[in-house]
Amino acid sequence: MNKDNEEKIKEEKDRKQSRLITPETIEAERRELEKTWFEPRGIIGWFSNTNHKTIGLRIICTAFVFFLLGGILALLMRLQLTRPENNVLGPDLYNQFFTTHGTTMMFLFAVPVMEGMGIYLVPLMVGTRNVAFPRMNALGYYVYLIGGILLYVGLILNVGPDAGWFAYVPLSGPEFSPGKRIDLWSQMVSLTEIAALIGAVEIITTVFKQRAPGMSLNRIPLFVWAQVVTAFMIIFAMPAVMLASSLLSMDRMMNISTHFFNQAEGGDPILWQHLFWFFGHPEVYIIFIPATGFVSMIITTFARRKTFGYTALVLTMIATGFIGFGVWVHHMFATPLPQLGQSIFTASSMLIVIPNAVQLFCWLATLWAGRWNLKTPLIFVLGFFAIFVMGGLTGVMLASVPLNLQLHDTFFVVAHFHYVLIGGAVFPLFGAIYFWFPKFTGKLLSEKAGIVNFILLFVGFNLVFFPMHILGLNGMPRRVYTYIPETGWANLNVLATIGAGVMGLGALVFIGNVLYSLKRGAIAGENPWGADTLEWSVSSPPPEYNFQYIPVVQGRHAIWEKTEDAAVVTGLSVKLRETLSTTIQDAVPEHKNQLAGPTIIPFLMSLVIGGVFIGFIFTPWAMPVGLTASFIVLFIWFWSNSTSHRPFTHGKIQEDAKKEDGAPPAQLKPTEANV
Amino acid sequence: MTENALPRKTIDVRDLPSTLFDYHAPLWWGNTLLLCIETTMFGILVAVYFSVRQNLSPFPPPQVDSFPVNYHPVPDLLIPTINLAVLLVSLIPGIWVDLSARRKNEKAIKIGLTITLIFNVAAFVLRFYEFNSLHFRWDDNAYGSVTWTILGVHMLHILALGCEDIYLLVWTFAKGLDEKHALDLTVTAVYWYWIVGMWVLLYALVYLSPRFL
Repeated sequence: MNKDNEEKIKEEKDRKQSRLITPETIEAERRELEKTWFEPRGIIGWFSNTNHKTIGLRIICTAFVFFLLGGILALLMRLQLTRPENNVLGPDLYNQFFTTHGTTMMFLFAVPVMEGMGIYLVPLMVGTRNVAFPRMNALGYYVYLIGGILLYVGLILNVGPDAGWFAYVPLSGPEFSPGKRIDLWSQMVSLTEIAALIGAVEIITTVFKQRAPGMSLNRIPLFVWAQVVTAFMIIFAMPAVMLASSLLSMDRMMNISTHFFNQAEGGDPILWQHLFWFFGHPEVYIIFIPATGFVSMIITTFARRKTFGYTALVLTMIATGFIGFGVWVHHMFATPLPQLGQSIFTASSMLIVIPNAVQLFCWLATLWAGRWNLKTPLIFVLGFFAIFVMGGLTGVMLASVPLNLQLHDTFFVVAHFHYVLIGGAVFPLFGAIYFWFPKFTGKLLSEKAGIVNFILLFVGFNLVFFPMHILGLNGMPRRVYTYIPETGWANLNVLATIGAGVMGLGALVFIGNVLYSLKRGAIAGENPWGADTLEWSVSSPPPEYNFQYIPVVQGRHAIWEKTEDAAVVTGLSVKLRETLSTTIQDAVPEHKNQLAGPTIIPFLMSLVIGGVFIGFIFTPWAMPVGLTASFIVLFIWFWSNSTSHRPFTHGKIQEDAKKEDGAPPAQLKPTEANV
Repeated sequence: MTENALPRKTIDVRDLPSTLFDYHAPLWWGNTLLLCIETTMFGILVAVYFSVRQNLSPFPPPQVDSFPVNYHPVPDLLIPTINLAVLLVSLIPGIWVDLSARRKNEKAIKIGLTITLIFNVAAFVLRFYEFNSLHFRWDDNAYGSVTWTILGVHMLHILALGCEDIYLLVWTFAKGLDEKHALDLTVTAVYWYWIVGMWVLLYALVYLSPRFL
């Protein structure tokens, strides 16, 4: 198929070779595009922005703010655990802190930051001008922001959730958690998952339908593949937790009082665990797979050679995506489940090692045969190898039922998943920030500070979490606010707290580096690292419309394999926010697709959604009121979205377009794409 | 891109159409992915239903607060079956609207969409009476909770689609038919097919399975 496609494109190129673009037209069209894609300024303008780069950066920045807040909570918890019988935090505050810490890191940091990177980078990497549904994209950000604020307002008002980030019933049920703490948690979950689902739909549609011509499925950059696999996982995993948390809030609400998790009336507390972990385990891969995307991009760029085993890497991501849905019960080995079931889940948990090992092999092979350019992003990736492999090894240990029973709810598990999540996701993420910061801002981050940042994080991380393995083996339980001196756990805990401080310093160096480099950083230019994907072919930061002419992709490594006479796409309107839709497999141009422009309506809609969910904490009447309000706002949204669309036969817009760029009347019948 | 000298070869796309139907359209993908999400929701609700069924023996639980005690309170079939029929018959105007949108037949759309909307409202109203067929309130036991939730979530979809129909109807009467709204109509039709198809399965689960399984 691919060869065919190439030939077709070549023929077409030859046919159109005669059409020359003069510098004057380029400049004139660029000015038009700038006008068309201009995003409004000012306060109302801020809330009206629909550009994927702006929204993506907002998500990333917001997620890092939550990362910082979650980190501060972690530091306070470490402070509490430094000495036996310490009294910095009481038991109640400690409960609220570890719950909020876990919830923040999973729902408000890890998933959003990965999707934020995707929303910023995917349209650039696939060569299009914006995500498929720009207004919905903006809606997703505001809904996420409202969810995050809700959680922290709760914590400040002493209604922070306190039943763990997984909120097990019956502890989180109406009987043992009266008050509003858990309701706040469950509504926050629903809000952030709406945002995650919106992001997933955006990314899949953009990748499937808006790739640049020539970018067939086997040429999509690995990071984009990672985002697609993740998005599919989000679509099939997140509904479980949204539904479960809604059922929980219905169980808890006075005037509803359903019995889903109430044993006495036919409900089942174990059902909650199934529903939660059916989401919760894929969640780990939802966080980890985008990180593997970062690693693939960074390694290819800094090894300065083509990726070894592209197909294998794509297949391992897809395999991880599938197997990731079949391992959730390993979180529940301490519940009374049939032994055969436990064995099956042990096997599948060990099975997932295979794709991950293949992945590591491909990366190592790429590095082995490469010419290293040892810069901060690559250093972070090397750190990732060390830490993630260790986390993986303890993962194999925990997959075995007898050992799991022994270690369940001890600090060994805490050590394990921090090795997996910080090692597997946060280190690559920092690498990715060092890698793409020049693209985001036009300035390079300081290399020296970057190395200091890495050393502090790496040393600090191992100081905090390595001792926890030993503490766990010695029996120190998680989620208990203190311990007695006779246990002999004090020394290792002191070490861990010192490590936490070192990590905190690392975070400060990072913030300092970002702030300094924003002001005084070296100018990056288009492609400071000599990287291979399309985002590096435009200026840093990229213009609002991304590409003046959509490029034609000639290979997996779009920039490296670009020939002198590479073609570009012309004929997209510069007066409308138009972008090119291509076929799913071979990315053959198919039709022109007009995207929506800036408006404040998504923000208003997010207020309605936020209002419904927050109102529902207090009264079920929030539902009918919210539905009515949603209908009104959506009506306005759709109506306003429709005003610039082309009528069938005659109409102002179309004639304008015809006048301006000579476009013939658009046809409705699906024509064979003519390239 | 701009400073990359002058690209000489071009692929000119100005002759390409601006709207295509079905899987060619990004909007169709957005809708389909939404339906994937919602199908997962229902899939999980079905799992919850069977979990509850496993916990209750006999199933459905006897209705002890009625006189005489109803030992096997399986749901009534009359109204639910009428509603299922209403939903199935509504596919006819639904498909008609779908095809008319592709043929740009504005008049047929106005008529077909109005009929679809009437069916839609009928299904919505009948659903209110359907809840009584279950014999339990949502807060009686977990069986009541899960059946009410399945009916309720599906009812929300009927409501959402009714609102979409109202919007499209108002637009078509006010502004006539254009390319974008023709696409919207076909995508909304997919949503309606999904709602009806989903209900065939859920009807079998809620009304038939306790009786015959």
